[in-house]
Amino acid sequence: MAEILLLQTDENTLTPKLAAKLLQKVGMQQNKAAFGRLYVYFAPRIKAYMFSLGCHESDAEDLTQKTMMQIWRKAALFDPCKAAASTWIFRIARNQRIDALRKDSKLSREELDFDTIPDDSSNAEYELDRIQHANHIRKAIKFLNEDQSRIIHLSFYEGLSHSMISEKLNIPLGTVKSRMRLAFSKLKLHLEDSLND
Amino acid sequence: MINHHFSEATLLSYALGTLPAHFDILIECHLEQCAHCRQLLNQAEAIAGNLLDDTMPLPLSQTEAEEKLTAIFDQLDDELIHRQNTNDNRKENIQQQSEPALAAISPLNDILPQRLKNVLNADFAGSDWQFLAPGVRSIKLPYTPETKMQGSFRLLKIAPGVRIPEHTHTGNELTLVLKGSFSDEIGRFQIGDVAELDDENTHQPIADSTEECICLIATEAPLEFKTVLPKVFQQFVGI
Repeated sequence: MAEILLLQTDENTLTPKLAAKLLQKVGMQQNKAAFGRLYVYFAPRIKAYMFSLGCHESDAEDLTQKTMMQIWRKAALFDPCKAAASTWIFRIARNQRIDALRKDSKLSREELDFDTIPDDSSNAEYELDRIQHANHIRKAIKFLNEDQSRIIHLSFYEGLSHSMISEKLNIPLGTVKSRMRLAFSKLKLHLEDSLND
Repeated sequence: MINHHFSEATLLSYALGTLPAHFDILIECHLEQCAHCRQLLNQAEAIAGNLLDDTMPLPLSQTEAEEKLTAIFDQLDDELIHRQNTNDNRKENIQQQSEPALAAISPLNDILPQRLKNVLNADFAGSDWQFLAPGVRSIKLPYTPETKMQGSFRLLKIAPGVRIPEHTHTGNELTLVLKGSFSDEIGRFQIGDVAELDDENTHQPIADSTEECICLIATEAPLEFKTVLPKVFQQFVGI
């Protein structure tokens, strides 16, 4: 497979714009170099994510490979107007994990595609534009207070539902929900701000 | 017009894939009809995408990367060859797919969301409404419990004017209205609306129209009734 031109694997930055372009190249041209570039950026992150959720190293590796393959297979369906590359890729990783946990294929989210439902809301396009330019969440996390960022951490990196968080931290479910709501609002606000940069 | 939606916490948990399967199915039934929640979902997934971007990557050497990419392309090539070989068989197989499980139950067939119909298996076709209390019937739906919390997934049918006795919940409960409507302390819930309740609410929903009210309900724990009599029913029917 000599045609895979691989940049050095310490090439660890990938802007949303470039990621979207690479994904489109994969989808439209089956471009292996573009895929390789996406691989070196996303695979180590997906694997770290799976690992943090409690997978054994070999399962994390397996799920990462499955996710990357699915990215290749579905790249033609990626629409940069509808989601950022990292959002689209996150969905695939999450769906692979759900499928591995649930085993009943009827419960899979893989074939669900709410994007195909026509949206009457006039806000839809503006909203999606915002998402496309989302690049600033990392800064936004700093604006969360300790309680809120703890909850985001437990949800994302440990895969706990809000009920499980309530149990783990021994705080009322209502409190967990309101902290999540506040965290969500703050993070959304920074999605907006990023458009002005 | 949908007036009652999920909380951000529920949609964020759904986006992250941290909810049990029966909650997911109920949420997907609502998402089919609700642009507002789909929009929130997109935002939640965008946040998740950025968190993925910010995840500290595990180390990956040049050699490893090349090996793994080669393995991926080898497997994709194999798949392509396999697909080409089996293409002729595909058309036959599509015609042999079985009928949707619920073709037999015509009254429910009209009100059940497509997502729900897709996940119910053929065993369900034979289920009858089970008596819970005067004017209240239910059908338990099959699902696979993934956590140690006892939960339930059911259809509930409430006759007009009937009130469910005052109760609360440990953990979450989601209710999606499929037919008719009900009112409780929070407001009026009609087709497509979702009620989201937890251990801080007690409520006494009442079917408030001339039609029966049919809902899809997902809970994480058994309901806790406030009065003694319903507890007897609870033991019999396991809600």
